[in-house]
Amino acid sequence: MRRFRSRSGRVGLVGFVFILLVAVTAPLLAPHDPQEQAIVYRLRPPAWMTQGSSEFVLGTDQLGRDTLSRLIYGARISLLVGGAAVLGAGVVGVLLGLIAGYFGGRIDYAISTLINAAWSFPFILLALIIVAVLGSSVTNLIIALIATSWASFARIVRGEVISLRDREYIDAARALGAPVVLIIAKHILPNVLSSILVMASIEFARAILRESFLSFLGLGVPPSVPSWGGMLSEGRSYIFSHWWLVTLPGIAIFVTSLSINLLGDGLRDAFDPRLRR
Amino acid sequence: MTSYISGRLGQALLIALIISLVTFLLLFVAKDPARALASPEATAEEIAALRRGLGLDQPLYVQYGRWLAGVVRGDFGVSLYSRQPVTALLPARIRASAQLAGSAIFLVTIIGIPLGILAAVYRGTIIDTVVTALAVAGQAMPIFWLGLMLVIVFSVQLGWLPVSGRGTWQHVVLPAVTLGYSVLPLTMRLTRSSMLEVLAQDYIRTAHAKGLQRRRVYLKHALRNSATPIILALGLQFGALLGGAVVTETVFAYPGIGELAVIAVTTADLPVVQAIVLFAASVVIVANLLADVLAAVVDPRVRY
Amino acid sequence: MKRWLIALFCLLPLAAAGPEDDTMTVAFERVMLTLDSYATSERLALILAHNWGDTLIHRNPETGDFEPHLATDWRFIDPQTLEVDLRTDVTFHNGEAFGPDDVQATLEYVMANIETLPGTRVLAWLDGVDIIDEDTVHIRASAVTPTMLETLALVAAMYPAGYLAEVGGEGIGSAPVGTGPYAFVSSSDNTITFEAFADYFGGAKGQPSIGNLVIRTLPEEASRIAALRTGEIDIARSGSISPDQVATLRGNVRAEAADILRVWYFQMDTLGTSGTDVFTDVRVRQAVNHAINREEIVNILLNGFGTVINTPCNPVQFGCDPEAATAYEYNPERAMELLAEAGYPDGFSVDVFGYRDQQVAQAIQGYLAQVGIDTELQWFGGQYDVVSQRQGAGETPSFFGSWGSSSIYDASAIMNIFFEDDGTYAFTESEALDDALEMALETVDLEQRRTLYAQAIDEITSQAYWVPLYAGRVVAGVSEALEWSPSSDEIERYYLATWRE
Repeated sequence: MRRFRSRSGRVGLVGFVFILLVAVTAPLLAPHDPQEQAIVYRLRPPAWMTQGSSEFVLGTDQLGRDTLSRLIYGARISLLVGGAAVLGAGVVGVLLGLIAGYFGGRIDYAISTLINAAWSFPFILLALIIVAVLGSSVTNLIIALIATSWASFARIVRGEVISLRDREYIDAARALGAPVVLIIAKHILPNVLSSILVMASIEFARAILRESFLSFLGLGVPPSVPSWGGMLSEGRSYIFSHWWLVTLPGIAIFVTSLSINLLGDGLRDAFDPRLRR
Repeated sequence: MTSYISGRLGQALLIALIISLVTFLLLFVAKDPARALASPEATAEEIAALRRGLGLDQPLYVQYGRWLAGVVRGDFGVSLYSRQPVTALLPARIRASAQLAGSAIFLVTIIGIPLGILAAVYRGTIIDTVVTALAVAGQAMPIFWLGLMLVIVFSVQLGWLPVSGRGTWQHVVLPAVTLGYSVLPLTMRLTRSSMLEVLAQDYIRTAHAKGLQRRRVYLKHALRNSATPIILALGLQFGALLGGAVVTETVFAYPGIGELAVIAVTTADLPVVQAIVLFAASVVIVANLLADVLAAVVDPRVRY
Repeated sequence: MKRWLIALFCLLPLAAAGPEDDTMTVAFERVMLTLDSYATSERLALILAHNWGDTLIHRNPETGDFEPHLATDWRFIDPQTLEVDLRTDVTFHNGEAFGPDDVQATLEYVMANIETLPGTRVLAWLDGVDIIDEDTVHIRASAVTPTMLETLALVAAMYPAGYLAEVGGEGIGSAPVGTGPYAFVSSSDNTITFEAFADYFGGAKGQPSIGNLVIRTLPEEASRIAALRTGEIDIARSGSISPDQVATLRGNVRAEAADILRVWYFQMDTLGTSGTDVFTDVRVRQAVNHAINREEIVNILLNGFGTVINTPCNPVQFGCDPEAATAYEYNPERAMELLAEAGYPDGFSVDVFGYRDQQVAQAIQGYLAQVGIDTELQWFGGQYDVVSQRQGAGETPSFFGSWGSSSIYDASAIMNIFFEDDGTYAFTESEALDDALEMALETVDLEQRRTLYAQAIDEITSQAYWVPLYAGRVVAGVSEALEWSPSSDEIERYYLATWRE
């Protein structure tokens, strides 16, 4: 596997690792408990403005909770939700895509119908309805995100498997009597791995953005849990008076998904045979 | 070939059925429409009476069956929330969303494609870097945040454009830009990579060797050949835009179908939700169908 | 595709606003899908109905008196029958003359749809309407109803019989016709247009001064504030601006506030039906009352937009006498003492259910935590229907909510719901309380009712069944070009607005 020639890929990697570190070391890094309210200190501006203080470096929200601490802990939620969603969607999607692509025929028809159904269901509506049904919690949010992204994986994998399954070495393996699972695992899977990884990075970033969409609509994580999308949603009325409540989480979301996107691009370039010099 | 198409059409119908059934099931399980509709201060008896009166106490299959029978006749029922027939509520909103989506795609086309071409032609230069940076940034930006920021700058601070709603072309600009920005990156990158692939082909080098003007080469030969995937992608995006412009419409209070969708889901207005989901899904299904058929024409192996 | 887009852009007219066009633009925060106020429980529809329609009786928001409007006079000829004399000089917007047949048609429409239209519920007492002669009707109730006049004045906008028969409620919902100061013109794209009705009879409302009224929907508060500042709208409806944003309303905009009927409360499960029995002990309940710093909530969280109350009702409601209530001042030490006495020296854990005003809910959690009560917030934001079901079923150990009393200025609209043994959201079982509340709804004798409610309040507060928190105060954003302020009954009277010179 060729490593990163592309500079942007490396930038993305650095960014992603940084955010990962922030998320992991959150309890050590955050100056305050993100849930701790101090009503008396509500809506304070960041430290460099008048009325700001070094105690709340990036200001406080409407309940007196420290913005910086919530941003730091928010990284956890974003990465957790995004990561779990991608993992779940990846497992489901890759599995179904492999089965559909390899076996073809009626199995393929059935699974393809499912894929198309999931693909055609407008994401927001599906997520809206799922969260309305199950209630808003981190778990249900992840379920909603998985339900809306598994189809992307399935599609890509199915396509690749179809183009691979008629190769000679597969025929040879089959002729030799190798069990199906082994064929899939040893010969097919490694070849689709690169596509899966690239897809994963795209979907990861997308999941993070979608989580913030849903939180913005009030359907994301419960209010006590610090999430960037939730912060945006809670703060959106305060754009004119207390802009930091909206701008800062927005920047956090942007930087995170940017890093993941760049990382994904770097991965794609690394795997793309045409770009090898 | 015809059997393939009819097979896919059959599948499309099946998909539509599955989607409508899933939506119905989910909403049925989740919310009690009677309670959502009733005054917050209604008593349990009043809510039960409402439920009875609206036929909501019937078993699931009866309600779904009735709805399905109505749809086949063209009757999409009456909105539980407003008592207006669904067929009266939807057309104006669909038109509004279509106008928004159309404007967004229009903007994306006149901005994204030229930029993509430039990036491909001047590959490796600063132009390429800037365009790619714009694309990547666009993919990473939460669009509602962008929308809010745009409102602050252009509506409040500069006063050039109205804050929200619909009425004049000025009203469409900010929402269209916001919505368009969500597909701009894809368009730019697709155009760029598509052009790059084509530019690397032999016949382009031949054209150069023959001494044709550079611009002619690019526009006439390269663009035409790279057009198909771009058009396909844009077509697919239109469907996604239409069904999912929810957030943009919410931020800008744009009276489209996305906004109605949020209201309908929160008030558990079954007939309206069903109709919207069916409509949005149909658009996507049709777009997908066309795309798949086209692809199958090109590569027969993709059929089954 | 480009060409039709450009053509479309050119065809759309520019929106108008402000004194130059004599157009007052108001922003509502929710989308209006119907204008038939009987068809929906959506308050906004009712507000508009008071502007394009009229009721028989008009309730003066300042004095609380009932004034003649479409009716010239009325009297009870027996405890269940109201005889109403009608005006004979009124016409509807479509030219139909107003008369007893319209009263009958409207109220019969209500009665026919009592079970299927959520907006009719406060008129559930209707039994029939009899036309006596060309200017008299009898309105009959199925049982003695002390709130008859109140509810008629609140919701009973009169529809024209001919038009109603022709287009039905659905037609009224999309294109209403009434007798009111503003006549419906058109509705599209979340914008509803009205114009002043030239032949308006005036009555208790007077004549509208501003020629055109436009209602727009702006769900985002930031958009409403932005639109106020750019002059795109002249009024952001009261309640659509949160107290925190009042400071941003300056320059060409101001904030106008009104005290409203809605009250906020913290309810506890005194019976143990939710599975938790911590609140069965009166000392625990009193401790909770002492633990919550209501003054701080109102002054700091709400920026002063609210009034602390000690009664399980709003003091402006009939029968709600603050003197009858036991008041608990903020005293966390006393709270901890009481908890220790009750056997919880280290406090306890309990679930709090909530669905709105998240900040206040979380603030309450903070206060309770300070006295050792650890709370887990079960949040149902935007899902009142779901959480109220749990509350009604007795499943919520504690509940933070608010109650608007359907804008009925009578203590029965809140106390009977929450404290009668079989009240919808009651968590109490007390014979004396139940009797008092029941009797108060069975008599029309004012003195008797007052005494009964005072008794009820005394028991409720001394037993600390509830923590009464505060009564609301809402903010509207108003353009400096406009002379107007919101009413305390949350019925916005746009016909009272005038341009400032």
